[in-house]
Amino acid sequence: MMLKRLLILTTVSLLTVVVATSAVACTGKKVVIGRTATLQQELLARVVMELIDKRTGTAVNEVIFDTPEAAHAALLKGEVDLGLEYTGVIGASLLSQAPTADADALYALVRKSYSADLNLMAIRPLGFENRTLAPAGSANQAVVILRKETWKKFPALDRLLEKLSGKISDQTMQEMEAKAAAGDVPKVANEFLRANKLY
Amino acid sequence: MTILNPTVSSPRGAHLAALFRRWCPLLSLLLLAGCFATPASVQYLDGAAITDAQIWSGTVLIRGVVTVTKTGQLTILPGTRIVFDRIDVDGDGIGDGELLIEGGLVAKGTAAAPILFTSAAATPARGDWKYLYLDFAQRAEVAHIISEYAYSGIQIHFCRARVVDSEFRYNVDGVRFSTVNIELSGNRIHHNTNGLRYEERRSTAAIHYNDIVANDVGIFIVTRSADQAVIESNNIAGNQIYNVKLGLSQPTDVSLPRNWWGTADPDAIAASFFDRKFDKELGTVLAPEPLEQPVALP
Repeated sequence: MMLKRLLILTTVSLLTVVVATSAVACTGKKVVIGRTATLQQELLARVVMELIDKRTGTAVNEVIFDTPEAAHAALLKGEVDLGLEYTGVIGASLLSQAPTADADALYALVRKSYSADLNLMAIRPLGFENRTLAPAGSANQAVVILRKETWKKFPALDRLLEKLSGKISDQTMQEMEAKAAAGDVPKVANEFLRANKLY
Repeated sequence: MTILNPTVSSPRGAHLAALFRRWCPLLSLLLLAGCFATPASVQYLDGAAITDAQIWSGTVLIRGVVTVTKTGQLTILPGTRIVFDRIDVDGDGIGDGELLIEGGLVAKGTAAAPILFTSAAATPARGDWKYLYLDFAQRAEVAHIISEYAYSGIQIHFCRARVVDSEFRYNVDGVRFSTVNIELSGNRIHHNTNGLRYEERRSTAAIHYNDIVANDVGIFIVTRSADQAVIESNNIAGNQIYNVKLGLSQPTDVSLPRNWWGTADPDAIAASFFDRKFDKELGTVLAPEPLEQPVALP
């Protein structure tokens, strides 16, 4: 009891508090990626985040949305800088295009429309197709979407993201998802990047 | 400056009382140690601006950003402990605690009584607090400090600084700088994500007699290096991923002569660099005249 009192008295007598205004210091550039909660999106987002962080030193945060539509809306509003979308879904839902199996033509259309109408950049496809959402008969390649406003601040970002283009085949994606489901998503993402000599 | 009274009932008093309760366990331990040794002082700073000359000793507990303004001069005595609370108001995953120096800093510990910058977390981790940040500092002399569990153990921009005989460990970036006139010597930079990270941007840098070992990446040369930084007579070895990594926008070669790389085999040394071998847009890391044995630190 005596020791407790001594501690309190000593604490009170020695503790000084200085209160003043907070200062604001530079916190460095940051990029935010939006994604949905699926394992595939979590994994792809982590690949992108690790690539940007490791190659440029720029910190990347992620925001998780309930639906692809909400993630897309956040991209348009500038709440996030990057998104992960699928060409077939874009073609059907946003561009009102009839399904097409011509993956190259569909991507070219998405790229042109996004650039002209939405001020977005559709980076060349990652390589695999997501067939679980895809409109019947349509190619549905995964693409990273980058806001042009963000690209102006990070002019090397499209060039960096292009390094992922064609690197994730259907088989690679399946294997990565299987590994990620059983364990550590950041580890799987980093293993992929290292195996492809991307950092 | 206010003496804390934990029983006051005003809103301000309630805030102070809450702070008291938050820090009480740590303070009790620190003060208990102090009661049976030499008298220890404990100062609590919650977002303070230092505009005049101050001397720190004992233990300084920091929450948020403490700024030494252009008119301020902070001297930190040997053996001082600066402990940062782990808060993350902006939710970016990096603690908000920071000591920002725009005025003067003299932080000169001794080998026997280094100055410690650390996290208050019970289980500390990299990035618990932001950094010791020298930005346009008027004067900066740093010796015999230990900086740990920060985003950057020390970050230096737009000033002249001398950082010697110190230890930077368990940070994201151990030491980070750009656009400076800097001497780094006799430092032990280990177990960080990046041991040394810099953007040269016309810096004058003399980096010698340092251990840059056991980091994920030893040296991360992010961008805009014109190969003017002199990085010589260091031990740059045993870094887990790469000893040297070039960032995306470093298209020209960078030379690091006369260092110890853990081996004198040129092929093995080159294999520990991330450079043009991996990406043709990058320059090449050159390591002429590699040393055949480790450098003895002062």
